Amino acid sequence: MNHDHDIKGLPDKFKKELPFSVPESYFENFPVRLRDRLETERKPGFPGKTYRILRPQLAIAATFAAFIVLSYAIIKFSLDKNRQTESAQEYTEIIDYYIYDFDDESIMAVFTEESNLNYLNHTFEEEEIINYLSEDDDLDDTDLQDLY
Amino acid sequence: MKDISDKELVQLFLDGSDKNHAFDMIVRKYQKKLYWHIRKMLISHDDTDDVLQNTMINAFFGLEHFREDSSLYTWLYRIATNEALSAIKKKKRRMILNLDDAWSQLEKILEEDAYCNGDEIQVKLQKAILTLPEKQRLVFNMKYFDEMKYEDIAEILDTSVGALKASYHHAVKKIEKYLEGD
Repeated sequence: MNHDHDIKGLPDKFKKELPFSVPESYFENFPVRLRDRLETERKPGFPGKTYRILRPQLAIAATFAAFIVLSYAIIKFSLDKNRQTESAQEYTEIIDYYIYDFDDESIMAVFTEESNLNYLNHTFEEEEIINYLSEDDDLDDTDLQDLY
Repeated sequence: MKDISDKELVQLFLDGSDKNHAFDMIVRKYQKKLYWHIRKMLISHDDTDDVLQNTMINAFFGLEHFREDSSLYTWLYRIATNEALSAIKKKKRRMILNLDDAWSQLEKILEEDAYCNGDEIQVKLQKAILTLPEKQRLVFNMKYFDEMKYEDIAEILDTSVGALKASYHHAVKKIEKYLEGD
């Protein structure tokens, strides 16, 4: 007996048997299935030998390209976001800047200037009122007449 | 059917006139040996079928560059070994996000796969073998089950006979320890 092959603790009966089986007719059918697959791989247009050899390098190149695109997209997105934030900030700053040019007295003066208040003394004629209201498309002539 | 030597088969293939028939004969001659070699590593029949197909396809496209430095069988065995190891590596990479490691997965297949249906002791031995690192498993399987010479294993695995003997010795010790411990 070749002692190289002895394993203690294993009954002789089971030493060289494998606990595996194969589907029925597997080995009869394998060459046929392989032939079909080889036919497919040899068809024009199907990635050929060069592709099979370069596949790992192509995979690395594709991963690298995807990483660059993703990085670019993230950087661009965050820059745009900053720009939008900057725009909003700019507007706020502009308003804040100019609003100090106006004090409360100046604003009140605009509202209380006589020329601006003249409309309060104006008496509107019936026709003026009707013309004004008729600009509203929802009102027809009958409704307008009814008002008066 | 007349027994054709490997040399004649390769010649017939390289001639080109009957390439498919020559390759078909090569496949039929070596499919079982290669299948069981891969199966002992991958355990699962489906995975083995995939790897065996890939092995044969690589052999088909590589045969025109076969230099006959080694025997055809050794050459095929080497392709099958590399394909099996690649398949295991790929499986391990996919396991990174999985809680189960590759070893647990193989154990699971041993217990649950429809084409794994041996005796309790046979399964126990396979589980013991699964605890070995891949290269050591290869050495063990090729020496213990296939009863290959160390010189042939050395050629396939591109390593020294001394290293193989040491590796096999350690593998046997680990397996014995596992079987005792259970």
